[in-house]
Amino acid sequence: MSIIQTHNLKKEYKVHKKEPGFRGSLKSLVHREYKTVEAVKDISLTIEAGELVGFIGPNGAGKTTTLKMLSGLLYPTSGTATVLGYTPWQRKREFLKQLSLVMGQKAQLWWDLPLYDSLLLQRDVYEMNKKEFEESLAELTELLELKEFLKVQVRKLSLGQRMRGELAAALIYRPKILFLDEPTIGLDVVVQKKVREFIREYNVRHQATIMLTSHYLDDVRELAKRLIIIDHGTICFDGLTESLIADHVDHKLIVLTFSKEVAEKDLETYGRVTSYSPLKASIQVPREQTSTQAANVLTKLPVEDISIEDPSLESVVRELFTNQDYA
Amino acid sequence: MPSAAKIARTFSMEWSRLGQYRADVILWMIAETAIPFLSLAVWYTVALSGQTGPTPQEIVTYYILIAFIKIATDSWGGMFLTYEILDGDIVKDLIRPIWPMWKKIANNINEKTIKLIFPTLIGITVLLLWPNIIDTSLLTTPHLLLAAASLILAIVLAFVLDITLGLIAFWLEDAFQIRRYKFMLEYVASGLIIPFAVMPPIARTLFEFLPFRYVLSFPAELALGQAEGARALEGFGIQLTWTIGLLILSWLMWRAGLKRYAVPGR
Repeated sequence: MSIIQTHNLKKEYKVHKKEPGFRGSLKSLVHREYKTVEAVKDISLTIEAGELVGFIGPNGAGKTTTLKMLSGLLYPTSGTATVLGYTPWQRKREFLKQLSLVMGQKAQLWWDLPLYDSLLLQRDVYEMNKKEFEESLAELTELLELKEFLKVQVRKLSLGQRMRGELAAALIYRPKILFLDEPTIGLDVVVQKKVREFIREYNVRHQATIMLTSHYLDDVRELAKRLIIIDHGTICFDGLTESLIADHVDHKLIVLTFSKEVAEKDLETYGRVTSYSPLKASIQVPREQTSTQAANVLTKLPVEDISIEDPSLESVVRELFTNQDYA
Repeated sequence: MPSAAKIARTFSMEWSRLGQYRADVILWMIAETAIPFLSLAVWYTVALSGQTGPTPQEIVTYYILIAFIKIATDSWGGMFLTYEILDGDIVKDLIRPIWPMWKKIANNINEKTIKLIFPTLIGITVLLLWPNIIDTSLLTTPHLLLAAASLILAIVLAFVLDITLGLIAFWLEDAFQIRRYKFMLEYVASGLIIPFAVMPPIARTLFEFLPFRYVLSFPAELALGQAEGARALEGFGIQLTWTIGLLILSWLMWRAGLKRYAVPGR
């Protein structure tokens, strides 16, 4: 069953253009110039219940704008969308009760009060009964390891603890749809891993539908089977993550560890050397030559360990959209 | 309507938050009552030397009432709303299944409840120490009942006026500049610096049509019997018209603003 459906969704807004400096200010006082920005040009997509979808694209591609339209925060300029059977921007109470939007920097928590107080507010705002709340709290306390800081004032928490707190506040009422916009931004690798594991676990346990944007593309690869890539406000890829790599990448990486030092020029005969140190190197080879070149390397060089890998999602996406900053 | 539990919890959270900012609340409370008391000092001196106009007792009674009404009608939610609209923070409240204004209302009522302690204590102290300095004969029960009704309307009017100004941020990035004019008019046209009883007739006539008198001076005038009969009725009419008019305007602005809103930043 489709839980999210959009058809030709478009969002434009006017921005005021001002030249820099005093002259620019004076000019803009007399004659204001506006330009129309097309944040989202044309988005049509369908997402099934329980799917975990990676939603990526360069900065300014329209990801956050799309998520905001799907969660009812923005009215589109044109197009239609149905989420859980509702038109999101009508912002019906029953609709808002079933979804959650986590935006890295926009905190839900009350800074001056302990995390637990914010969770109690969520309980009442989302009309949970005591039993549901206790169960959900116990689950989140375990998964996100909240116990040690549940009763500490939010402003005194570390960034990682606060982000876990944010996730707890966003999920305590067990939303059916979760929009995660950069949930791991600024977190260290250990906390990132915890958050990632938690997202996967939440998706499996509650069959929640999740749309995730992240700067860490390999996180997206690990979590999401399906990937939607958006650029300049339009979808340029929608499919399985693995097929993106298979269809768009015609090479593989042979990663080697040597028992004795090997010179870089000795490796160049097998393919393009993408990383090198005397005892460790990676060679990029055409996909169809992978097994032949791997066999050659094994017979001719002092190889201690070998692995054959697909290129990282990040490098694939970079290759497709040259040198843009991806999220 | 949302369940009472949601609103009650919002009030209790605001109350706890307030507990974290005690010093802030006390400083604001003093700042808010400073102007009425400074004006009191000026007009009391004038009244002592003057042959006509209000008596010194009337001036003291008026300004003690004004200090109380000023805090009771004080509104700042619109200023925060402007910030939230301009930097996109409002999305935190829009995403929740509770009307975002409940938070502003809870914050306003809770904070004012504490701040009202100060002018109340001053009023009681003055009454105990210098009972003759206040003209209690003016404060009859019918006067006080009318003043109380008008004060309730004034609280709503002040809040809605403030929110309406805050909502301009959906259209204008320099919404804060407009707020400065509100402050300016509030000082001169509300009876805060110059009581309506001593205002030049032209200014008085002009300001009677603006909302500011009905936020501050009008309830005090009713309490002192300065506006009775037809004048009281006319005043209530204007106060009610402004309140309902601004309620409708702010509701329309809220709906139209959300439709055109393009949340800035992330």
